[in-house]
Amino acid sequence: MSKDLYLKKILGEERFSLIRGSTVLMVGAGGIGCELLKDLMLTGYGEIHIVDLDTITLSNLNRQFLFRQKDIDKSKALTVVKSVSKFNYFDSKLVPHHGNIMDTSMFPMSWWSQFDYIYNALDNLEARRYVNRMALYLKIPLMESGTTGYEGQVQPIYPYRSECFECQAKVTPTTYPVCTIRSTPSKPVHSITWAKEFLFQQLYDDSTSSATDAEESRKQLEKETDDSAEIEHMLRETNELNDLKSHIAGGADVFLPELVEKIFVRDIERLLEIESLWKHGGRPVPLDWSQLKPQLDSLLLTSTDLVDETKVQTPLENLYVLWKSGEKLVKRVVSGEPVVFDKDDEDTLDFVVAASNLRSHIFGIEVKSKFDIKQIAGNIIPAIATTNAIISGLSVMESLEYYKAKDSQAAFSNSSTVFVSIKPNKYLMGAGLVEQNSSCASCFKVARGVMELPETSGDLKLGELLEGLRQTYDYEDDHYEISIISGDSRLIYDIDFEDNIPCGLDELGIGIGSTLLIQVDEGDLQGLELYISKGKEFKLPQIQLRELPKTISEPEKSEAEVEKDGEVVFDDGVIEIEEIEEIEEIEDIRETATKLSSQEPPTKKQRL
Amino acid sequence: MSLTKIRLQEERKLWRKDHPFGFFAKPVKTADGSLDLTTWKAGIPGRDNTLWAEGTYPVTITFPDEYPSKPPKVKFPAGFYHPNVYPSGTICLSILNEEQDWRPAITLKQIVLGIQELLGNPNPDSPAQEPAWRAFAKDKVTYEKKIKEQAKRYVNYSFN
Amino acid sequence: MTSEELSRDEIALYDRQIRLWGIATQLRLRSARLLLINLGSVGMEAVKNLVLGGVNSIELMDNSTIKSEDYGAQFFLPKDDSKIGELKLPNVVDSIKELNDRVEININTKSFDTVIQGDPSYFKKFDLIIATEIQKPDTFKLNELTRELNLPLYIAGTHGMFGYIITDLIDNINETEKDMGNQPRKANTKLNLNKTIIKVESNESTNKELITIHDSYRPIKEIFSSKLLPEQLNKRQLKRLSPSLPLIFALFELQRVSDINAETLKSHALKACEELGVNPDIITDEYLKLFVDQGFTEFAPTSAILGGCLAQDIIQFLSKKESPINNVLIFDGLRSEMPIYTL
Repeated sequence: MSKDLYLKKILGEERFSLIRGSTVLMVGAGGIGCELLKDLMLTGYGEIHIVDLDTITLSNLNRQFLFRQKDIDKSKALTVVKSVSKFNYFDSKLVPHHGNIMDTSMFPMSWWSQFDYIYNALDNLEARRYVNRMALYLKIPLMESGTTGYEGQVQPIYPYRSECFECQAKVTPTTYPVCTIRSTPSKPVHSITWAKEFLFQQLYDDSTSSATDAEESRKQLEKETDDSAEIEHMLRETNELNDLKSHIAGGADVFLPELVEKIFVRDIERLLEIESLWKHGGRPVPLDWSQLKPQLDSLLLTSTDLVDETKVQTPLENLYVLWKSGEKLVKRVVSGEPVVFDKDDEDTLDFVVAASNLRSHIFGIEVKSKFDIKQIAGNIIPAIATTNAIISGLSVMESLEYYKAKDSQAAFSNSSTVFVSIKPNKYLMGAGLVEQNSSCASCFKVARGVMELPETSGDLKLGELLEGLRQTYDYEDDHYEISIISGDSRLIYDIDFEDNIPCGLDELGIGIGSTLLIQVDEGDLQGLELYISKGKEFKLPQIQLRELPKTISEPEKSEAEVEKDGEVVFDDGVIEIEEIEEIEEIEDIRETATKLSSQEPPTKKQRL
Repeated sequence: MSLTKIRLQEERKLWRKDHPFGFFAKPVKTADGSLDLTTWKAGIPGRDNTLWAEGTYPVTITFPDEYPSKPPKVKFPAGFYHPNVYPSGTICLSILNEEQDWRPAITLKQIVLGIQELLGNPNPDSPAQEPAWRAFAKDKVTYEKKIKEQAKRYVNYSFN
Repeated sequence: MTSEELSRDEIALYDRQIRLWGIATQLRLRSARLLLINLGSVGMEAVKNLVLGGVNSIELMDNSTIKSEDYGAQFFLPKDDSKIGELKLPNVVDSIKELNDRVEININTKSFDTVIQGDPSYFKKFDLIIATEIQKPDTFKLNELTRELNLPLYIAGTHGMFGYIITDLIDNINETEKDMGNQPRKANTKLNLNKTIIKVESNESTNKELITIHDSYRPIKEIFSSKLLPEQLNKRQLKRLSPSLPLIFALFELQRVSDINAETLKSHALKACEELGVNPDIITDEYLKLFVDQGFTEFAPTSAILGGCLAQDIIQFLSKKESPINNVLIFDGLRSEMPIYTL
């Protein structure tokens, strides 16, 4: 018997040989990636490209089973390929790339076009959006996946057929108003944000702000301020901190007592003077420095190790930790070493933990353990081996329909979005794929294609490009006026802005890897987004632009509102937890249509 | 994001077709000759028969990446005299606040008209700067004098 | 390890999971001694996850030799064809140990029959038993013993794109914290036939409820002749019941052979339907063919999914925090379903 006996039985000879001949891309070699690569290889995929820009850290090892202690600090993409060679039973060709998937020179369009299928195993929104867009340009099916803790999801994407990654709005991270952080904190996260993003940066981190660009930070502060009449107080605080910073050179003995007295005593006293802030309570109590100082001094003589990851510490203990980490940071700064906050740099973490806890203590906010603060300050999302294993298995499983049908339509009908969510009566929830969202700006309102251009793009004038566009897409015949936006938001041409017509594209900063968005001024014709790829000569793709359905005041659908409807941010993206129930209901309702009885089972009603 | 680009060009088109008399608004030109759709300069005329009538007041409108989910930021020049304008020039207006009345459907035209309205009708409940707010609440004579002085500075204001 | 606390190194290594399940669970895992009987594809997945998670020890019991088709899904095997025919365990144990040197891995290459007949007290040194890919008589024999010794038992296996987990955890009380719903949860509410809320402590200020659930289990023998399915599913659900449930039960009746006779399988499946009290019409030709082709085969994605669920449920059980599977989980890869039935 042979090694592939089972695969042939399960997949069928034909599908198995398609998979053997398939070239796929896996983006991300972390928690999901390690598991996914194993599953892809054991399913017999012929060629697998692996892209990751990250290196391995200790905290990866509890779930990324292809990495060992000795691999720490090595490239994930390169290490993972070495590690799996010992079970590459089907001799899949493995091609690692250590780099950023959004790097257009490392990964030009021609590189992307070699793939039959793309598997995302990513942990951030920006890269997910990018890969989604590339899949749309090239009409390559994409499997999106993500986990957080015990939950996770896979979503098969068939470009222009099913919902794409952007068809549903995504949650963006919460930002806190400056005045809350600087003047009226009420939650641990406010103190932590203050310690990490204000105090630490002002004092140690030269990469973000310094005395010389105080004006810049002033602007930043003002830009962010939405609700405060005490801006001057805040600016004064900052300026004093900058003055204080110049004392770092004098060493920790001078600097640290001044620091503590200023941020935990004087600034608080001054804040207390602004009566309007305390109308609704929450008055802070300045640190009793005169009493704590002698205690701290005697504690410092004993040189105890007071860092305890999981215990909540007293103000004195926090002062001690602040002191010890402060001394080390001062030494590092004085020696000229650049210091930035990093959750894995113990000195920086200890300083932020101690400073935020002291501030919380002053404002009567719950004091947290180092372990807990690390999670908030480092944006750590819990992750476990089991959920990643399940999601990776589902990722391959759900993509098999594509290889069965080799036809997006059939694959669309037979594939599911699957959620892992543990309930007493089920472990998974599936929902059939949904068609494109007709308000999606990524896959519905805009068509995409690849435009070819020789590297000497300067030879092509904007005027010539316009001419080509008008002819190729019948804009002229139908009397459409068009506009062209390059990149994210640079308008290079519209009816009211014709200055650039004689310019070469290179003068306008447009070349290989650029994108152009062409829209009609009037009417309901789809937009067209072109990705510029290297070619022999200027060539536009043949695309039939569609008329968009007439809509009445489309933008009324507020994304912000959609977002608030119970979405949960994932390690790795977004899931609409609240809607799962609904999806299931809909699924059930569909089923019920032909039934008389629709009585719910008791388990469901009483589901936890 | 595609949505942001599409919407910004839409705003430009809408403005071209229909904008209130005396107002102007356009994206700023960048070094390479293109227009940056995320940063606009606009002029807001004071309403007739108000203290503000003489001037046309310049604002800078900045659209974030998440627009129109998130509102644009609108600023007068720093030090602009008005009770609801921060010392930095940032305007305190509920339709520009994500947590208050911002909705993605709000157009540029509605924003500038809202600001014009705010000029003559400050909101005493959301002070943003000490001098103008104090004067507005307690010393109308000084307040009016300052507004008129400021209006004179912005007579015939235009770009470039 | 006897210390009641985690070391700083352990906290650093297990950081991402401690943030999810807490230090108490991690300590419980650290003291858990497990036995896994039969190390196939799903067994390897479960072992990988449990070793990474940081259990105390796992003993692997398997007397099989490496077969060429094992290479379809067993990623701990050495990539060396000359090993085919050798005992499996000595060839994989080092790769397993490499995953986490804090976990003790032992191997036992005696046959199941020899051990269970020779020295039943052998099982006493474990806190939990997992047996994969075993047939009905062995399952019953093992279950009788685990009942006698009061040991929790997990049974699991896969057939291509399908799989199952069957549990007899005897009796389990677990505490879990949930957000308050629209209506407060009440003590003495039956969640299903075997799961009962026995205590609820509400905390108004955090909007949380601490719920204590009592799970009672029945011997696996009773599961196979259970009449409880029609009690917990409505007509519609009974009709759309995955045929994989009776087909999986039917495969328990057959020897692990490579060629499955369709007629034999069908007759066993129809019998299983009758036992379960479900309509035999659900056994479609499509599913019958799938099970004829895929019965007893291994497939890496299925093993990853099922091995993930198996390890996760074991962790939950050991943590005493979440209510574990009670008592039959079915994975149907064609429908992307994973229902749990109380049989």
